[in-house]
Amino acid sequence: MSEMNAQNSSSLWRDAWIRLSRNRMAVVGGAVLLTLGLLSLCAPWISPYRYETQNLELGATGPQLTWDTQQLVYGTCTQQRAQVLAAGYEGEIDVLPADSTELHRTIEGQDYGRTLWVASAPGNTNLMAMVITSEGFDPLEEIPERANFILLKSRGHLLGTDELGRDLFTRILYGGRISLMVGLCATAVSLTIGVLFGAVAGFFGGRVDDLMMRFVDILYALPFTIFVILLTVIFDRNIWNLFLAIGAVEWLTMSRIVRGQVLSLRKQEFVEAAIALGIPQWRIVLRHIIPNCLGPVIVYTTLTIPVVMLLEAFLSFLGLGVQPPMSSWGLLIRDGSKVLEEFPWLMLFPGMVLALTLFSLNFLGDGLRDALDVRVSKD
Amino acid sequence: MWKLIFFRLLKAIPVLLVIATITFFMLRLTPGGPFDREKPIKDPEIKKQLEAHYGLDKPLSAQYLEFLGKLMVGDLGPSFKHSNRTVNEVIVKAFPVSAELGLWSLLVALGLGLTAGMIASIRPNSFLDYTPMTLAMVGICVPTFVMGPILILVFSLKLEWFNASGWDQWADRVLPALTLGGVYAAYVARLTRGGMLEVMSQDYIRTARAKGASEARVLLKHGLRGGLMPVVAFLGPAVAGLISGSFVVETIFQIPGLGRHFVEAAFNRDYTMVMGTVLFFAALIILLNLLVDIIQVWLNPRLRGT
Repeated sequence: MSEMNAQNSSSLWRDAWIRLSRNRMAVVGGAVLLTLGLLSLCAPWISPYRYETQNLELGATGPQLTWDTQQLVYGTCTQQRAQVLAAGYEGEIDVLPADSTELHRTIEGQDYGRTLWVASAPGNTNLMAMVITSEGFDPLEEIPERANFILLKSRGHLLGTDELGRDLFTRILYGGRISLMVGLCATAVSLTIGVLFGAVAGFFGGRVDDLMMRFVDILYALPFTIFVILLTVIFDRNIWNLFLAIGAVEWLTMSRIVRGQVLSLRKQEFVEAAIALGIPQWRIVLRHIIPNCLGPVIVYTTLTIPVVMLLEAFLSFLGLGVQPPMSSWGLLIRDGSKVLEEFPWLMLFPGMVLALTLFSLNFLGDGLRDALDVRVSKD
Repeated sequence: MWKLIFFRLLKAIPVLLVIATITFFMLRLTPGGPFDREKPIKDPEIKKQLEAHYGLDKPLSAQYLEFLGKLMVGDLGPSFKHSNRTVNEVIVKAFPVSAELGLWSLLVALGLGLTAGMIASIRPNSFLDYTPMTLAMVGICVPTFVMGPILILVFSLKLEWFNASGWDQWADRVLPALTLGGVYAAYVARLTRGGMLEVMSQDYIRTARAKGASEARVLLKHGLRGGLMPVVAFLGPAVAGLISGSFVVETIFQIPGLGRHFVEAAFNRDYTMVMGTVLFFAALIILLNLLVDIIQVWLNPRLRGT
């Protein structure tokens, strides 16, 4: 019997897969999500910067749309600052001759691209800096006769930087890790609670079902956003609490859907057979009932993820989500909207990425719903 | 009908009680009090007196009972942060602002949403269908806290048509209402389209056409009544969403509404203020849901027996 079952289910899934792959929007949505997920996951290898690396001299610069260096900062800074700067540009530092004539000779005939040099004179805590291009170099101040030179090879910033000189593209990638992770983890929490609750209510039926569903009805009447805000304010604002708080309020519809499915499944022969075989009830629920209502559960899950991500962004926007220097898309949007007039890109790019993700998730969810042909009420 | 209303109101009482209890203990059992934030009061004597003044020195159970007793007569107590003002006063002052914002937004949502949905449903899968529906998808996927700043950037900073924030003149209502109403307009449009498409294939529509009713009359009189059902059902959760969405919109546009008070109160551990706003919002949502149910029964005679 289990063999037949497996064959049936595999063909159901194959049909659904074929139908899904014919839905262009859903495929595009899935591809976009996959790309965004991979980019976020591989953030440390893609981006030359780190999300918390500041470059105060740089300040907020507009999107340069290239990795190549376009614009460089220069000016005097303290030695300490130069060291911080140098530390920010991991592995790209050369210590150069201390003598300026020697320096000339070193540069000549070598293509350094556009690089920033920071020079420090012994006994002088102020560093001198100049911009060097492949054509030659352009001293900004007189270079001290004897000095320690540090070469910083600066790269461009694809989407510009924020006021602290942090690379926006990098922060969006790292923020995506948080946002996508919240989307997945909080949905997983809501999935677990919703499926178990619904399955138990539907399987036992009768008074248990009545009581459990009455409980859900009461919870439906609660102002949930308010509760999530309360939860995140009251408990420590760490990311796990965020998952729990969001997951704990988003399971109601899921439990209703699962309950409805289970109620109809329970009366079918294969469950009766399992009962007749004397299989313990918890095992019937876990092994026979839940796997058979996977379709609607999957569909509703894809529709829950955007809701959850939006909730996280909403909380971050109110200042209740993850804490700086970590970032999430909601937090980036919040920070960006504060300096909207001067640096509009700081809000527009994260906003676009969030919107794109929600777009993809919605199309994928709709596509899955059509492919698996289940009726899930959209609430 | 009256029976339904009566029983629903009766059922609301235990719900509110549960909410009150959960919120009360959640607030009290966690560390940090209303006098610990920002400027912590160093002198233990002063803190003691303050706590005695607000009754925080009594055992928790006594405080809980006292709170419930006061709640019965509608007294939400003094605010801890807004000194010399009671929570009732704060709510009375701030709620009309939030309510006005909500009403304008609802107007935007229904006005834009119904129109777009109707247009889309006239010729499914045509240009007239795809354009409004794509717009609706954009509306759903661009959250309020992105839409709001974008509207500010375009209409107040670049074009200088409206103020970027404030709530003083008539024109100040436009951007917040568009921001908040826009998302719901998108949902309303989708639901209207779906509802209309389902209804327009029904027999009674064919009957209406057969007896020679004009197309406009068929659409607006016969079609809309049935096609609106999903929209009305959506209004319940939508109202709750409008309320919570207004936290963000009130923050973006600096509107002195109740949503901002709630977020601030939660941050400050202003116990009475949090309790007051939570209960107020809960009662409001329950009432509005009831209203939605009544409208549904009125629109669909088939529901009347139940």
